Parts: sequence; C-alpha cells; structure tokens
Amino acid sequence: MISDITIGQFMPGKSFIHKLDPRMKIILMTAIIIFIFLAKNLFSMGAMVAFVVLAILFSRIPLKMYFKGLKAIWFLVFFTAALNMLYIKGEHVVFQYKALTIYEEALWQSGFIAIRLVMIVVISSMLTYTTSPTDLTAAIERLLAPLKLFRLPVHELAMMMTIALRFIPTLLEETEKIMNAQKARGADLESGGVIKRAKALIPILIPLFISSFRRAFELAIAMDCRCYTGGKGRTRLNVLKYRFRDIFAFLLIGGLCYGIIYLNTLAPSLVR
Amino acid sequence: MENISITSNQSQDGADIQISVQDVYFQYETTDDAPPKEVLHGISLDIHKGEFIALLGHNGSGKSTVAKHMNAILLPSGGKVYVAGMDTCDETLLTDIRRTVGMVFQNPDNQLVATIVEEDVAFGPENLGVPSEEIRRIVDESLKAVGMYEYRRHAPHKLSGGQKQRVAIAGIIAMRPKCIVFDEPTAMLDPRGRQEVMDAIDNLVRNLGITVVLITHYMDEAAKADRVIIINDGKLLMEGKPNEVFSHIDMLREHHLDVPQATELAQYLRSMGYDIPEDVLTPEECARAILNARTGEKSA
Amino acid sequence: MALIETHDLRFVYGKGTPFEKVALDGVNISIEQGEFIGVIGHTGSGKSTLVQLLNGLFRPESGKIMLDGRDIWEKPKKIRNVRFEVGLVFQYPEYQLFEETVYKDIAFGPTNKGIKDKDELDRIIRTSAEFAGLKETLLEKSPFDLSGGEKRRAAIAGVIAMQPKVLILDEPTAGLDPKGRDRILDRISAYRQKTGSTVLLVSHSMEDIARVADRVLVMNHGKVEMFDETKNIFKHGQRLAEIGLRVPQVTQVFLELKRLGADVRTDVYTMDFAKGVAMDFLRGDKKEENNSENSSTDTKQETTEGGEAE
Repeated sequence: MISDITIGQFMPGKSFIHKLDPRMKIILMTAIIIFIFLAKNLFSMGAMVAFVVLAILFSRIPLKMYFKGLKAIWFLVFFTAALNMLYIKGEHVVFQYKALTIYEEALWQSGFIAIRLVMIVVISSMLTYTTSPTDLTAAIERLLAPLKLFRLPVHELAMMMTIALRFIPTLLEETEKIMNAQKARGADLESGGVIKRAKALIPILIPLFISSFRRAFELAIAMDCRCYTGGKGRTRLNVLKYRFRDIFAFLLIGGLCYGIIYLNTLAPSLVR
Repeated sequence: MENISITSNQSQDGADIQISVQDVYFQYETTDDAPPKEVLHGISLDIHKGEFIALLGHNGSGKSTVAKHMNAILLPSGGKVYVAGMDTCDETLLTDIRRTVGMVFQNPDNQLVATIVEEDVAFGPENLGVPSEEIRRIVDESLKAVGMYEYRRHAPHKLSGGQKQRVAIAGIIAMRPKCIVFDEPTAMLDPRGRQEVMDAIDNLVRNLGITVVLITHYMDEAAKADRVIIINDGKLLMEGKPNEVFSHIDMLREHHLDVPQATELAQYLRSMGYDIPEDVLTPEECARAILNARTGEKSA
Repeated sequence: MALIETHDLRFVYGKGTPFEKVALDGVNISIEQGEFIGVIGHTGSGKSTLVQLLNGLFRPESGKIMLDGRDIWEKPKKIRNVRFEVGLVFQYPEYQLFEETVYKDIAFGPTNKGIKDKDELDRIIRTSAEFAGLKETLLEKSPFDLSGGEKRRAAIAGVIAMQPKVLILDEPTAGLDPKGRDRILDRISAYRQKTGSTVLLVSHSMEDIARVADRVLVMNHGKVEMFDETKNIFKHGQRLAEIGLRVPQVTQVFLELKRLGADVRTDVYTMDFAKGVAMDFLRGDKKEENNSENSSTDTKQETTEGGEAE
C-alpha cells in the first residue's frame, strides 16, 4: 500500500551517528559536503573516501540502503562524468578516435565528479537514515532561530513541517481510498491520452482537497483546544543538548577538514 | 427574542459546579443574506465536579453546539457559560478555560499534531510552557492512564482508531484539565476501539476524578453515566439518571434515539405484570432480573 | 448456478515487503441471486478485503472469483466491467462526492458505464435517487451542501445508478446517528425488495445485521468462520464473543441467563422474539417443549426477518 512508504526514510538505530545531536549532524554533514569539493588530489580525496566508508560502517545502516539511495542518481553520475570526459581539453591525450579525443585531465575530472556526487548522496542519505523527521525539524528550527531577527517565522515554518510530516501518510492513504472508490464507480484512470488522464484526476483531486480542508479546519480547532498560541512561551519535551560525543565528532571532523587542506598541498591538484 | 439576564453570582451557585450553561442562545453567522440560523434556544444546565454526564440528541439537535460552548470554541449569542466560575466571553481567560476543560473530537486523525506519540501528548504542556523535565513526567503518566505507554515512540498513523483516540485523550489529560468533553469519540471506531476508549473514559472518571461530558449515540455508553441529558431542537428535553431517562421508551423513540435492548425487554416484561425492577440497563442486570422474577413466580 | 462463487481465494498485502500480511486464505463462498448477506468480523478479519476482491479492485493472489459462472479475471483488461456488475459502496462514501450537483455526481457511474442516452440516464438517476431516499429538490444542489446522512445516501445512489446485479455496502451506517442509520437500512431493504438484487452488507453492528440479513458470513483472521442463516449464526453467541464480535444486547441477555444456569435458548436476536422467549421462560415453559406458544414466537422471529427479506 502507498501508506507504507516511510517518509524521510528514517531507520531507527543506536549507532554513534544515530545518537549525535541532530543540529551537530546537520552542521557536520554540511562541512563534509563542502570539503568533498575541496579535496583536489589523490591524497585528500583518498582520505575523504576512507572517512565516508568508515562513517557508513559506523552508521550501521545496511549497505543496500545506500545503494537504494544511489539508484536514482546513477544516470546523473554517468551522464555528467561522460560529458566532462568528452568536453574537457588538456595536454595529455589518452585516447583518440576520429573526432573523439580524451585527455588525461578529463579522466581525472570526471572521475572526481562521479565520486563527489556519490559521496554527497551517501552523506545526505546518512543524515535522513539516522535522524527522525521530528529531530530534523527540531534541529532546523533551532539552527534557523537567529533568523527570527529578520522576521522569518521560524517556529511557524517548523510547525508546518511537522504537520506536513504527520499528515502525508494520512493523505496518501486517503488518496488510495478515494482512487479505489472512484474506480469502483467505473472511473478509468489507466487509459487514454494526457488530457483524458488529467481529466480523470478531477474526481480524485476534488474530494482530496475538500477532505484536506476539513482536516485542516478540525486540526486548527483541536490545536486551539490544546492551548496552542504560536511559538511564544512554548517549552519542549525533548531539549536538544550537546554532549561529549558531539564535541568529539566536531573535533574529529575539524581534524579531517584540516587534514584535507594539508593533503591538498602535498601534491598538485588533479581537478580545477 | 426572550433573553433572561443573569443576575445570580457564580460563587453562590455552589462550589461544586464545574460548568454552568445559563440560558444560552446561539446562532450561526451566515455569509450571505440568509437569516442567521439559531441552533440553541435558551438552554441551561449545570455540570458538577466529578460527574459523568452523557449528552444525547439526534444530529442537528444542538448537542455538539452546546459542547463547543463549554471551552469557548463557540461563544453564546445570548446567555452565559461559566467554566469553574470563569466567563467564557472573557478573552483574557481563554487559556485558563481551555486548560480547565479539554475536548476530544470524533475523528482521531484530525487531532494528532506530531509524528511521534509522545511528542503529540507533549503538545499541550509545551504550549502551556511547562518545564521540560515535568513534561516528560506528565507525558508518561498520561500515556499510562490510557494504556498507551508502550506505544510512546510509535508513529500515530500506524495505530488503530481506538489507539489513536486514546493518544488524543492522553494529549488532553496532559494539560491536567478538570473536565473533558468528548464529542462522539467512538462514532468512527470499531467495537474493539469503542471498548478501549470507553475503558479509558471510565478510568478518568473513577480513578482520576475528572469530570466527563460524553456525547454519544450509543445507549450502552450513555448507560454508564451518572446523569443523562437529552437535547432536542436546541433545548433541554429531559435529564435524569440513566434508568429514569431510558424508562421513557416512547419518548426516546419519538426523538429518534435508541433504547438499550435490555431496558426495552425488561420494561416489556414489567408491563406484562412480572416483577422486574425499573432500573434495568445492562444485559447482565436484565438476565438477573428475569431469573429473580422466575424464582419469585415459582414460589408464589 | 450461484451468482457469486469463490474458489480458494487468497490475498496477501504488501507481497515481498516487510509488511507482508495474509489478508484472506482459503475462502470458499457461494451466494445466490437475490440473497441479502450480512458480513461481519472485527477489523483486520479480511471482510473489507473480500468485498474489494469481489469488485475486482484487487487481483487475488490465487484462487478464483466466479460471477455468473465466469472468472472475473478471465480478461484482466475488461475488469472495469465487473465493477458495474458488482457495485461497491465504500466506508464513508460521502468523501467520494465531487461534482457540482448531486444529479451530476450520480451520473458519474452510469456515464462511465457507457450510458449515453440522455433520457435513459435521467430516468436512471431519478430512480436511484428515489431508492436512496433523496428528494427531487436535492438533485440540483451541491453535494457539499447536504447533511451528513443525505451525503451518504447521495453516494449510495451513485453506486445504485450503475444498476449492479450485486450491491455491496461497507459499513454504510458508520458514524451516523440512529435516525440516519435506520433511514439507510430501510432504504437498502426497500431497494432489495423492489429490484430483487443481491445485497452484501458489511457491518460491525450485529443489531443492523440481525435486522436485515438472510444469511451471515462471519470472517475471522482471513478465513470464513461461519456462513449460515442468520438465526443459526446467533446460536453461537459464545463463539462470536470469543472472536471479538459483539452480539446484539438481547442475545447477550439470554447468553447471560444461560451462564447463570437457566435453561433457555440462546439463538435470540430480535426484540419481538426475545419478548416471546422471555415470557415463555417466566411462565416456566422449558425450551425443549415445542408447545404452541413457543412455535408461534418462533415463526414471529422468522417472519419478521423473512418479511423484510422478501
């Protein structure tokens, strides 16, 4: 059933990475992604790959989950790598056939791009696999809190995100029900051209909208009844706290970043 | 329209009154030129502390509208509603009123806000600014009170209807209300879910001392109440102990309300001259009464 | 030949996922033309899955569903035709209304079926609305302006309008007040009487089933637990309670009497019959004695049920 799709793909666990403070996780993962782009020779890239592989092992998320995340972007990886291979010019020709010339520099460039893309996907899936949507929302709310100064409604945005996460499965289930109900009235959703198919969606979309409005209305009253008046004066069940392991992770990644910069100086850059 | 002004002082009405609805009129504002539709025509009722009230009436009778007046979701167009002595029209008291009288609705899905059960239960206390450590304690207590503690880390959408509704109840208990109004909490549930929710409500009344107002169409649920109030056409039609009210079978029928079958059977046998008590409500009571009557009959 | 027959029906949800669950297994039932069948079972017993299979919404994992002697999945591309033969009213069907007017909404099914003739369509819509107890004046209203009970009846009219041989209703009275519930049950019985269609009514409410059904199908854990005439089903009150079903209150009275050691029959499920049996019991008649009083009450129960059925 559609409702079995898990939103955000969170996989509960007790690994070191699972236990990190979600704010720290977001900060560190961002840092890693930046430094993936800064690694420019074999030493620094090698260190980065080694680190990511270690992180994968430490996350205790089955490898096949990461492959699942990569499935969607294989095409993109090959396409960008191939384009780079064909278009980048350099000095050392590796291969030539008629108008097709491939340079050594192009090989490095496309190889690095492919590895970077894969690592970015792995790192960001790691964030969603090891952090519950609730924690993610809470962390984003906290990290964006300074933006309140610029009148950005941070709390409201986080509340919207929470409610969206809460209701996506419910609405998916409802969509399935309405689809079945209209099918039972002989609605033909599967055949015909674009226009016919778009038209066939009306009997599904209208009831879905109406029911969503009804839900929103009822939810608003229920929230009123539970004394919701916005972000002001609210406390939290789960207070995010940096612990020793967060500091440890911070120092570790800090060390890694410094190492990348240092390793970059040991050999000439292979990519621009 | 007749509108009796309220002169009585609240504290004089007795300290044990939780909610006092005094000659309330209510009309829905309509958007177009159509005349406003009046749904309550001067209704008065008092709900005492610790009482378990069942509020009955067919759809459109105004019972839900009355209920929504009890925690200021709706404000009377005429008359007054007092919650623990607080006038619901006083906007400065809104938060106090709502934490005193909680409300549980029909559709459990549309009351749950968070993606994890315990976070949802925490929503009320969080809004009230309760310190974190205390929220944790309250949440655990509230979940235990409805028997959902083991599910605290679950996602609401994976729960059954009865379980969701119990989480919704826990979310209200967590605000430490004096009274909870239930607006047809079992209407969308299967028999098992209904039983779970009724058990939870029972626990609130018997063990936590919370005043309960239950709107329902199920007479077996109403039979458990201390007092039954029937509303018809925006007015109070009848009130009394369940057995008193249910003995008026014809009147209930006339207003499209069900009669508990056990009561109906007992009444019939009584009318046929058998020695059956008037206050039979449950199948167990009915069976016992029939058995006693037969023994009586034999010895006679 | 039976109108509907199933052979070793099996259905599994989420095949190949961690959520895999056998919803139906080894279901063999046979339903004759014109029967009124009550389907009961607790949530997750497979009753809703079964009716959706009968309507061709899901394809069985194995086994066959025969409608009029033909396998409904014989030509998978033509499965849509089965849905016109077996009309299915879902739970809370009012949420499927979408057109500007009730009239147009009722027209959705028959139009999909391919009825193009304006006059015929109009006739069908008006008779369906009448069967569902909708006043003519409501037809030009927006479905969203109707009351809860009216919306539900409009949705039912939308399925009746497909003129199905079999009408299946999944919990048609859920969430309604007693008045709305009685209205719908009455309309369904009347529709059945006038058209002679086969009707399947899925419900949690034993009282509803006891009122209208000729035969009752009891589902439990994806299997057929019982499938018998209504009066025979309620003899097994004990068993029904064991599998989490709530028998009607009158039945509970007699089950309790029996438990207290009284010698009474327990296949009582309607009020009129209960009154008779209780009177007999109070007079001191034994249940085995088939005296005139007892048999007269016996026919009473049957005629009440049969009367509505015919």
